[in-house]
Amino acid sequence: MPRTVWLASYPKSGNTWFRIFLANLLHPEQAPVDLNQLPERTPIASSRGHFDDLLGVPSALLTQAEIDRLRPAADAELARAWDEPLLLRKAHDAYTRLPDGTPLMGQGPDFSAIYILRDPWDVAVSMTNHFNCDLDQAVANLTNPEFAVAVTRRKLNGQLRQQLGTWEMHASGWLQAPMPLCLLRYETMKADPLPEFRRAVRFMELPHDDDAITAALEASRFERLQQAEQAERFQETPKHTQAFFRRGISGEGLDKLTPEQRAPLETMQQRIQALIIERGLAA
Amino acid sequence: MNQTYRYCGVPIFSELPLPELPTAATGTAAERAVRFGATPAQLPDEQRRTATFAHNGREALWWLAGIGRFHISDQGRLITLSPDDGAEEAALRLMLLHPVWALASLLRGEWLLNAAAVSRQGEITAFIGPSACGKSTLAALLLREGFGLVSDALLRVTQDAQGRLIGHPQGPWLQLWPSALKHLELDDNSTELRAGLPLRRVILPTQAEALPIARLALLREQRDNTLDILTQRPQQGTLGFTTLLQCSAGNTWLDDLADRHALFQHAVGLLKQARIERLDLPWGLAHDERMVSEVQQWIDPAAIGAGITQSSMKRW
Repeated sequence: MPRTVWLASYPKSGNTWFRIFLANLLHPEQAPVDLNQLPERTPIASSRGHFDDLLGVPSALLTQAEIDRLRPAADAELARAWDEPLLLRKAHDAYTRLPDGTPLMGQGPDFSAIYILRDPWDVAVSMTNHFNCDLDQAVANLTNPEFAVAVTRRKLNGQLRQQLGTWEMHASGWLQAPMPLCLLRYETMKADPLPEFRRAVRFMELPHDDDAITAALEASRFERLQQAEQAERFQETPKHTQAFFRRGISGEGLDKLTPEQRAPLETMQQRIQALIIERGLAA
Repeated sequence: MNQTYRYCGVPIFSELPLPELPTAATGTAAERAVRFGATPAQLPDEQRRTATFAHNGREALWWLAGIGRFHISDQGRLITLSPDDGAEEAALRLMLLHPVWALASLLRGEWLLNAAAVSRQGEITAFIGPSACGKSTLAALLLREGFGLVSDALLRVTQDAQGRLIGHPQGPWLQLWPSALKHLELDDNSTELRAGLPLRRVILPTQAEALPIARLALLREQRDNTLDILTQRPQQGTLGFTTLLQCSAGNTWLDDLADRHALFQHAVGLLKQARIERLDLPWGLAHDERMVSEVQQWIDPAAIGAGITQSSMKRW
């Protein structure tokens, strides 16, 4: 059985950037990789297609409770079918437990996680672009304990519903998940990338040296991604959105959000910062 | 009441009433049976067990807590059903007619494609592709243009006496989501599939006979794409073969249970007989006229302007 490593984050926190880095690292012969055909497979935890194929039952015929209950089994089947020693999987779901206490996203030793944390005010700004909403709505999402994505019951979504909760609930759940964890801070990934990405590479037990990591970082530079996106639309970009790779900077939210919008996010951020220190997760 | 019905072209006797299916002609011998009875907790010499199924290569169990357990035996001919306490009958029927049927079909050595299929002029066009790629919705849009309904989700493929690969009519319905139902003005005709499920069923007349499969369109997962035109990418050789296997119903069990020789023969035959192409098409109900027009042109390039109007938007 392969080791499953979740690449987990709240949406708009650098998950896609990290996966592009990984693709460039693991497939240097293709660097810079085609964004729409990443050579590295990191199947998302919430893929409806994988669920249906792995369990032999169309999720469209199941209730939400049945889908949630069966998701750990689908994850186990994917691991069983995986033909490589390392299984990297993107995830935006919060770390939650099913009614019977089973963790939706598994636990050690079969699972470990790289968790990417981005300051919530910057997530809010990025969210306005991705979810086509204003800042008030983005802040409301980030502070809503019931916030979830892929929830529509009007049409079939390619993704299964993902419960996110508040930004704090999401971070808190993953930081305390009973599995080995590597915490990456988006702000540090931007400011001083090599040590931060090197930690992740070591966590995944990949053999790549600093030269390889630096080359992959160069191939994944934000300006490159923007250029690639200008040349060909990135398929993960929502229809109403001009660009997926918008600005990718840190601290933008501090200027854009009003003090009233910032306040609840700062409170959440302070509590998570305390949790990071308490659990010895600071880099 | 015990009845013999017809599903995917197969006469099936069932102690569980299946009111969504047409009944078979009087005197038709059933090829499969569904009976109530005790189901084993385990199979002898189990080869694989997951959270929803187990099999030993000859028999299979399929279950879902709150609904029931199905034991498939006698080479897929007999399905023994043991409902859970309080199970909703509609949910039992739904599972019987999709995942359990796909599993039983594999044990029978048969091949089903996950396909919504329509017919015109005596031949079938099938839409295949991943979940949520719009197969049934596209079929519904084409029915409005005068195509006949063949299948909503499961297309049974067999070989006829002339060696042609033919698709059998599944059942007289399409299962659609509320946004598609509303767009197609079918809300009032739809019925709930099971309690709390947004997916609904519309009963529609089905093509009566099995017909040759002329073309298969692989649709890609729709991500609110911004394509302006339909592009076609032929799926030939190994690519086509892989596509057909990936789009087989019950592909979860293909490696373990499929009759490999028959599957290979059928897939290769279909690759020779039918046009198989990946279609990337402008998607979204807001663009349905253009989408339907493009797909009709793909189905029959000569037909546009020669009788078939470009997206005439006929009502039901």
